[in-house]
Amino acid sequence: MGSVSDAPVRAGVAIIGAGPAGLATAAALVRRGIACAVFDDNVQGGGQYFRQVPPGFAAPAGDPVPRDPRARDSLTVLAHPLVAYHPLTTVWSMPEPLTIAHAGPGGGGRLTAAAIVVATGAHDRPCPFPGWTLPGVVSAGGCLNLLKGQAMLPGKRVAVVGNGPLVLVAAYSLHKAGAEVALVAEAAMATRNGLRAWAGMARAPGLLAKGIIYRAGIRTSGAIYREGWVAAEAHGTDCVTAVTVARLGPGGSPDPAERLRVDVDALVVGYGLAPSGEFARMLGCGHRFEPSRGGWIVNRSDEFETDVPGVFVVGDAAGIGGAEIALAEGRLIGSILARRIAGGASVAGAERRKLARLERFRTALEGVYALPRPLDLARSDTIVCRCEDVTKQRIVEAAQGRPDLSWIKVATRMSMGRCQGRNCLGPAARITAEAGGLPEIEATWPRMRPPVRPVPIEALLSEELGPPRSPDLVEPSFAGDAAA
Amino acid sequence: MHGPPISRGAGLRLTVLDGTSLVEFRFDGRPVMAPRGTSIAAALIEHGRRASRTSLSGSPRGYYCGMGVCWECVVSVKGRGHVRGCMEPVAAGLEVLSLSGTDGLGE
Repeated sequence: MGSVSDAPVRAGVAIIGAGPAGLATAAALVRRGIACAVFDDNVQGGGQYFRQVPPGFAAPAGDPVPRDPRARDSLTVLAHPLVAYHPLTTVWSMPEPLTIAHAGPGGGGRLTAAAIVVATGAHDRPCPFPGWTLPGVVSAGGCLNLLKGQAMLPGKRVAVVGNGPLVLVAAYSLHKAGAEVALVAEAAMATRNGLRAWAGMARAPGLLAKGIIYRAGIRTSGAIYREGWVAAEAHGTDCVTAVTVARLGPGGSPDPAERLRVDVDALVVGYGLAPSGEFARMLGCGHRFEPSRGGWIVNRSDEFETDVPGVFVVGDAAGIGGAEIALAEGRLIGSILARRIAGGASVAGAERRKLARLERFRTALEGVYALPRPLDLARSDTIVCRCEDVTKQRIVEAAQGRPDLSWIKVATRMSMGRCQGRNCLGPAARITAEAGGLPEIEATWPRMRPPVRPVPIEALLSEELGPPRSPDLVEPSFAGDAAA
Repeated sequence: MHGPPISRGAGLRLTVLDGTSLVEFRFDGRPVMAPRGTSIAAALIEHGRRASRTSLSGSPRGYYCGMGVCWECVVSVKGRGHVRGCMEPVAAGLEVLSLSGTDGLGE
């Protein structure tokens, strides 16, 4: 079924991801006459923030689910004559400089471009706690995707726990859509922090107003609302039937005494976002550790270029910043690339100033939701690696032998399942560092190898591969080994 | 394996644009009606089938992230192989099977 690709097809710019950042990039490029190819693994563009109902449907007039009205206009660029749009297509490797390998319904192929813009967005940051794997426990992203993309509630009586703006967004959306929101538990002392940071928050009055409206809506809903409280346990056997929340203790764990149990049929969990930065990790780009931005984030020049020439990252994939920053960076990379490719006018100062203002708001927002120390909600028997059923206990035992994630991966199969570590490496790194007495920054993540997302074998078979190259032979060594 | 059925919510509905309608597919042999083009995962949640698979250790798992990252919603679709329920559209006549434990092989 796959087709053998001819010589790689040339395009102006290859954009990976059709969410807000990718769409804004494409629009900025075609406005300047530069062709681009947009790859996206979903059937429709929009990513998460601009998620649409399925083809053949429309959101009803007076749709109770909050949607951004800019979504429809942003999506029109995918039909522009200068845009080659590849839906249902996974970009899984960069086998040669500036050449990506992609796999979709028509088979696989390669595309060489003048530049590659990674706009792969973010995914829910995992935060293991007892019972988090029960059916009916869904992430904040999973809840919003059900509401916006399927016109479906995750349950009739729902609790929302987490840390960050998505807690309010999810709870408010559920309430407007007709669910009974029983409980909202935000881990940070958000209101107190927000009042202290009012000057910074006022830099983006529209976003601040949204937050106030959402908070008021939750008060109207009658939900129990707690700040400084976290998930202690989700209860149930075949699916979730209740949740216990607890005050957040000084060590980052749930307080054993101050607890509250609520019956629910769905639990929404939103402990922040993590950049979907696996493409840059696969390329070996330099990264730095910034917990407030979601963890390891790729190093970029002030033109959004990684240390692999021609590879740029914009939006949440480069560090969590939200939709407005994603849109602004997409617009800006368009003018940057236009200047590089076609020698146009210099980069727009107004766009730079707008981005700087949004970044100041982001810093203020991070302060609102900051926690005194990382959360540690897992018990010994809590599953950390969902795909391979590896508990915290197993990771701790392996880490006490050698506090190295690559070793623990091999010893336990942690991160070797279908999600490729997206739901476990963050927590596993923190657990490993703690068990080994290291700072978390030293728990280096294992190298990401292609395919960066799972693809069917037929996509690999349709590739014309060059002759195998022998890897450089390097003596493996581990710090602390006895002299060989 | 079955939880309480969840309807599509008091305030929610999909406006049909092109006359598509409810179609029937089968999950583990049992008929399921859902709007064509919506996701298999959403249809299973709606019909009270929260647990759509079991993990390696046999514990029930179901829809979690809704965006194709976690693979908790993975199901087996005859003729298509292992696909994510949250990304796969409902179509008439689909034969969908749940996966259990170490099921790594299948159609």
